[in-house]
Amino acid sequence: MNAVDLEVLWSRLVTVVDEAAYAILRTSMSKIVVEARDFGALLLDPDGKLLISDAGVASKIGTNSIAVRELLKQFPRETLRPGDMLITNNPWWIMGHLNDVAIVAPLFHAKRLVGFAECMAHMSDIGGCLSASPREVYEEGFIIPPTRIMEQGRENETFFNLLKANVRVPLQISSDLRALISGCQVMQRELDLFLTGTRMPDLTRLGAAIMTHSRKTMRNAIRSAIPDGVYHGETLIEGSGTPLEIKVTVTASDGELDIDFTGSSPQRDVGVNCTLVYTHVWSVYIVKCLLAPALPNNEGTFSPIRVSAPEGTFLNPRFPAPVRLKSSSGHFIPDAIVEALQGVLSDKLIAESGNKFAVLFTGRKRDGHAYAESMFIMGGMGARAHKNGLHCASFPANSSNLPVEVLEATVPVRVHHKRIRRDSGGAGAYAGGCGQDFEFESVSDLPMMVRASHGKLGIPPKGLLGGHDGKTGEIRLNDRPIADKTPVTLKKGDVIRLVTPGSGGMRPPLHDSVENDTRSQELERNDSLRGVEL
Amino acid sequence: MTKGNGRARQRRSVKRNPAAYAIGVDIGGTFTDIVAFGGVSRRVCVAKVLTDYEDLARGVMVGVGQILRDNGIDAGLVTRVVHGTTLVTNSLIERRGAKTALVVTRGFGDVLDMGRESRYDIYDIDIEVPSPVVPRSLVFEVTERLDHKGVVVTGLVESDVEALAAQLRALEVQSVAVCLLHSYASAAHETRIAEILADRVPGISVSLSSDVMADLREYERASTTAANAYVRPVVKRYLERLSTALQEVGIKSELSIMTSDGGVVDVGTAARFPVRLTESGPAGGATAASYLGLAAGVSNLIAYDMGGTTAKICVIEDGKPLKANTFEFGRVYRFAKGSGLPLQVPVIEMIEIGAGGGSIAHVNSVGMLQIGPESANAAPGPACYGLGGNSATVTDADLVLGYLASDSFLGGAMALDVECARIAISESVAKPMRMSVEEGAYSIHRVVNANMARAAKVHCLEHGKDPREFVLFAYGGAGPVHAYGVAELLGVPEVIYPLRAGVMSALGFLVAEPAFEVVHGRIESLFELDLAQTNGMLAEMEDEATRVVRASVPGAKRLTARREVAVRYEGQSYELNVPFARGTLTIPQLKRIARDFTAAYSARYHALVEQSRLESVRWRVRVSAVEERGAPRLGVTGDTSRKALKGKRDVYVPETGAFLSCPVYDRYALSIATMFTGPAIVEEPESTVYIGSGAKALITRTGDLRVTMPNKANGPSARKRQLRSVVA
Repeated sequence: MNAVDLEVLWSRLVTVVDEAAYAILRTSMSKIVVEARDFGALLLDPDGKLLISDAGVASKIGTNSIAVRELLKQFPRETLRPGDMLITNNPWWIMGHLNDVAIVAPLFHAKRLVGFAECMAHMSDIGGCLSASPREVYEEGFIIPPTRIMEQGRENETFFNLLKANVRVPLQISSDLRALISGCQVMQRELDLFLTGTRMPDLTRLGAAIMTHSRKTMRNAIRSAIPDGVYHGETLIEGSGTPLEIKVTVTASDGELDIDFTGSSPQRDVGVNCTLVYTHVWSVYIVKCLLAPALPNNEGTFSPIRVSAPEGTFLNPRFPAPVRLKSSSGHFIPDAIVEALQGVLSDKLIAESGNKFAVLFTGRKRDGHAYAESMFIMGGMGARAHKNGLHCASFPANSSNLPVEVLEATVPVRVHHKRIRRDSGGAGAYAGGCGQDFEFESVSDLPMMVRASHGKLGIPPKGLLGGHDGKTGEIRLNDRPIADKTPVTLKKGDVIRLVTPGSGGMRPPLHDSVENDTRSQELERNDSLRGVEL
Repeated sequence: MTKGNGRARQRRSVKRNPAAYAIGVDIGGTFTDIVAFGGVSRRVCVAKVLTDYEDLARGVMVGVGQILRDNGIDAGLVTRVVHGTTLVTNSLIERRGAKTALVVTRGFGDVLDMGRESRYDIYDIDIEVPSPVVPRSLVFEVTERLDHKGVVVTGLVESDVEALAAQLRALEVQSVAVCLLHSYASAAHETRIAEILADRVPGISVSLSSDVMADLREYERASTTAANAYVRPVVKRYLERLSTALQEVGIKSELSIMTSDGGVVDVGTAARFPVRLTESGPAGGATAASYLGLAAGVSNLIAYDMGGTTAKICVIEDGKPLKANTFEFGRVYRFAKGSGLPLQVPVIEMIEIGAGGGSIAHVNSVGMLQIGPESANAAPGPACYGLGGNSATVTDADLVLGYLASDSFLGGAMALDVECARIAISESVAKPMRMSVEEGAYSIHRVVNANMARAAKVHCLEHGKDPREFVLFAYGGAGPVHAYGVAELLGVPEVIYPLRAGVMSALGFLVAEPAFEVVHGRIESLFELDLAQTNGMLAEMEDEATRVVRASVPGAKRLTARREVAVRYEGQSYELNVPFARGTLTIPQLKRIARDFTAAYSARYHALVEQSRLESVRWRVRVSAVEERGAPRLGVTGDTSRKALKGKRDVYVPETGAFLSCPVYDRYALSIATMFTGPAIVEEPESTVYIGSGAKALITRTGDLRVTMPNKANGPSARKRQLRSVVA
C-alpha cells in the first residue's frame, strides 16, 4: 500500500469515527459532553488495539484504553453477536473515575468480527455521596461491572432500571448512555459501508500500515529530539492536607521513552489518586505535544512510550482507592515531564500552568426538578518557549467556559464579576498567562451544593529556565478562605469567589523592555509587559 | 413619504417593462464581477474587471459602465442593482475600521479578551489567539444588571454613562458598541445608554447588541456588536458614495445589498448592520446554486465551489441552503475552527477548505503528501503559468493529467507550460515519494479530492445529513475539474455543472429575495413560557423585519413571514429549528411544536428519548418579498457555428490506471439533449469538466451538464439496505 493510498483510505476511515462522534454530540443531554466535549469515540482492531480516536479532550483519546481487552476476558470474542454492547465504568480501565463510562460494541462485516467501537463520555452524575470526602471508590458512585447493556440490539432493561435508581438525574444519564449506544451503532453501520465500498475484507492491512507509519514517525521524533539518557523532573501539588509529590524519571533510548514515576507520593484516602490509565494519558499527551503534535492517535503513535508507576503510589493506586478528583492531580503530570526535558527541548516548552477549577452545582429547583451542572474556570496557560502564555486557557486539559448568560439561565446563581487577574502571570522573557477572578452568589431559595476542585491553589506554578513563578489562587466563601475540593452548601445570598492561579514565565525577564514606550497599544493589550517586575 | 411612494410607483411601472434589467455586482478578491439580466430575451450578460482596492466604488462603476456600454443597455432601464462586497470582511481582517469603544456591564470588561477560554488545537502548545477589534483600553464598564429573564436587578446608573460620554469625547471615539449582560431579554438599559450618548456625543455611531443580534452568549454577542460598530462608519460612507455614483450614471433604482444569509436588504439596513454582509459573495453563490438546482428539478444539493485558493461547500436542502447562526472571521490559523473571532449573525452555513487550484503540494515532515493551505496565488502562480513560480500546485497536477490543456485555459487567454508543471511536481512530490511524475500528479489530484470529500462529509455529518442523498453542484474555476473525483468519494449519484461557473455569486444576487431575519434568544421551558409576552415579542420581530423589507422593496405586495423556534431537550446544546404558523401562539400550537420537534429528532438521530422537558432557545422571524421575475437564460448552447467535438487528448483515467485518448467537447457547441459517456472532457472559457469512465453525461433543457455516476456499491440504494439491516 503506497503512502497516498494509505492517506486516502485512512481519511475515509476517519470519517467513520467522526460520524459516530457527531451522533454522540447531537444526542447527548449534558453540557459537559456537548459544550466541554468530554467524550470520545474510538475504533479498535479485533485485539483491542487503538486504530482511530475522535475526541475533543485529551483524556478521551484512548492512549491506553485497556477497556476492550479487559472486557474480552469476561465476554470472550466468540460469544459476541451483532447488536451486542458491553458497558463498564471501572476507573482502572476507563479514564480514572466512575463518571467516565464506556460502551463497547463488537463490529461485524460479512458475519466476521472486524473490530470494536468504544464510545465513552463523562456523566455529570453517577450517584454516590457528594457531601463528604469518600475514602473508598464504593462511596463515589454507582460501580458498573462489565455488563451486556445491549443484547442483539435490545436494551438490557434491568441495567437501565438499576442505574436510574442510583443517580440523581436519571433521565440525563440514561440519555447520555443512549447517545453512546447510537455512536456505536453509527460506527457499525458506517464501517460496514466503508469495507463494502473499498472491497476490503477487514481492517488488518490498513490498520497495520497506519500503525507502522505512526510508530516509525514517533520513534524518529523521539530519537531526533531527545538524546539517549536519563532525565529527572518533579513538581509539587496540594493533594489534601499534606502536599503530593510527582517525581518522574524519563529514560530515552534509541527512539523509545520510558516514563517512570517511582518516588512519587503514596496513595491517599481521598479521591486525588490517578489510576495508571489516567497517569498514562497525561504522560503520553505531553510527549505528543512536545514531539509530534500532528501525528494521528493510534496504538503505533503511543507504543514507543512506556509509562509505569509503583503500585500503591497515588499515580497507580490499589483498588478500592478513591479516585473521583483524579484530574485535580493528574493535570500536573505534564509539568514534571516538561521539567525533566527542559534542558534538551529548547524550542517546544511550556512553563507550569494555572490549571482550572472544575465546579459542580447540584440541587433542586422549586418545582422539585434536580439539576447537576458542571463548568470550568480557567487559570493561566504557562509561557511557551518563544511566546507569552495565554490568559485563562487551561492546560493540559482543554475545555471551554460556560457563558455567564447560559450559566444564569441554567443554575440559580448570579455572577458578580469575571475578570482577568492582570498581575498573576509570572514574569519572564516570555510572561506566563494570567488567571481570573470569578465571583457569584446563590439566588436560590433552596440549598445549593457547590464543589470547586482545582488541585494546586496554594503552591505557585513554577517558571521555567529562570522565569518567575505565577501567583497562587484561592476560594472564598463570603470573603473567608475555604478549602479546595470541599463541597459547600450555599443559602440564598452566599457569595463564592474563585481565583485561579496565573502561570509560570519563561527564562529571566528582560528589564529594559519595561521602559520601551514605542510598543504599540496592540502589544500592550496583549500584555507583553504584564508580570514584569518593576 | 410622497417621494418614496413616487419612486415605488416609478419602479413598479419600470418593472412591468419587459425591457428592464437587473444588475448584480460582486466584489471579490481579484475580480469584480458584473452580471446584467433582463431585456425582452431575458439574456444574461457578464463583465469582469479587476477589483480596485484603492477605491472599490470606482472599480464597480467601471464595470457597470462597461456592461451597459458593451451590451447597449440604457441606464434608465435598470430597475434593480444588487451588490455584495468583501469590504466588511477586509476592513475587519486588515483592521481598517473606526476608532471603536465597547460598553459592558460592570465586572465584565474582559469579555472580549477572555473569549471562550478554549484552545482550538489541543496538541499545538504554540497556538495564538486572535486580537479583539476593540482594545481593552477602550472597553468601559457601567453599573447596571439584568437577570436572564430581563428583570432589572440593579438599575442603570446614569452618571456612569455621563462620565463615559465625556471619556468618549476626549478619546475621539467614532463608534461605540454596547453589550450588556442579558440584553437579549430586555433592551431597556442599552436603549437608555444610546439615548444619553446620542445627546452627549452628537454624531457618534452607536451599535446596541440588542439591536445587532439579540441572542444569548455574552462573548459572541459582544464580539459581534464590536465588529459591527468597528466597520459601520466605513461601510456607511462607502455605500453612500456608491449610491450617488449609480444615480449619476442615470440608474434610478436604489441600491440593494446582499446579506450573508442570502437575503437582500436596502442600503440603510446594510449600513446599520454591516456585520450581516461579511459573507455576501459566497451567499450569492449558494443562492444561485439553490435557484438553478430548483430550475433543474433538484432540491437537495451539495454546492461545491472551488476557486484559486480555497473551496467552499454548502448543503442545500429542499431548495434552501442550510443556515447557521455564527460565523468566524480572521482565523489565526487560516482554516482552524475556533481560531477566529465569532460573529453571531444569520449566515448561509458553509465550510471553507484551504485548497484551490493554486494550492501548493509538498511532502510534510511525517512523510504525508500535503496540499495547501499555502497558495501560489495569482502571482507567481502555479509553475505552469510560467511566471516564475516553481511550487507544484493542484493546477499543475491537473495539467499533467490532461484534465486541463495548455492551450484552452481561460478560453485560451493564458497558455500553460506543461514542462514547468512536470519539473515542479517531479522535484517537490514525485522524487521525495519515489514515484513517476504522472503518479505524483495523480497523487496530488486525489489527495485534494479526498480532502474535499472528507470536509464535505464532516460538514454533512455536523448537520445530520447523508451526502449520498444529495446531488453535487460544481462551480468556481476549479470546481468542475475536481467534482467528479469528489462525487465518487462522497458516493453522490449525480453531478450538475451549470453554465457560467465563474460568476455564480453575482448571478445569485439577482435571484435572491429581499428578506430580513430577526433573531431573539431566550432559554425557557417550552410549556412554561409566558404566552402573552412571547406573542408580543414575535409581533415586534415581524414588524421590524417587515419594515426592513418594505424599505428595500417599497411596492412589495406579497410579503411572506416565516417563523421558527429552536427547540432542544433540556440540557442539550444543539437545537433543531421547528417552523410554526403565524398568528397567536397558543398551548395547542406549542404542543404541535413539541410534536414536530420529537418527530424530526427521532428521524434524524434514530435515538430513543424518554419523555423529557423541552426548551425553546431562539426565535426567528424571516420576512421576505416574493418577486415575479422571469428565469434568466444563462447562455446559448448548441451554437451551430462551432464544432461540438473539438478533438481528442490524452487524459489520465483512474479507473484504468492509464492515459487514454478522450474526446474533448466545446460546452457552448453541445446542443440540448446531447448524450455521451465518459471518459470525456468538456471545456468552456471559465472552467473544464472531467467526466470519468462509465459515467453518463447529458445536456439538459436549462443548459446544465448533468453527469450520472456509474453504479457503485455504496450508492443510496445499497445504503438503505444497510440501514435496514442495522435497524432490524
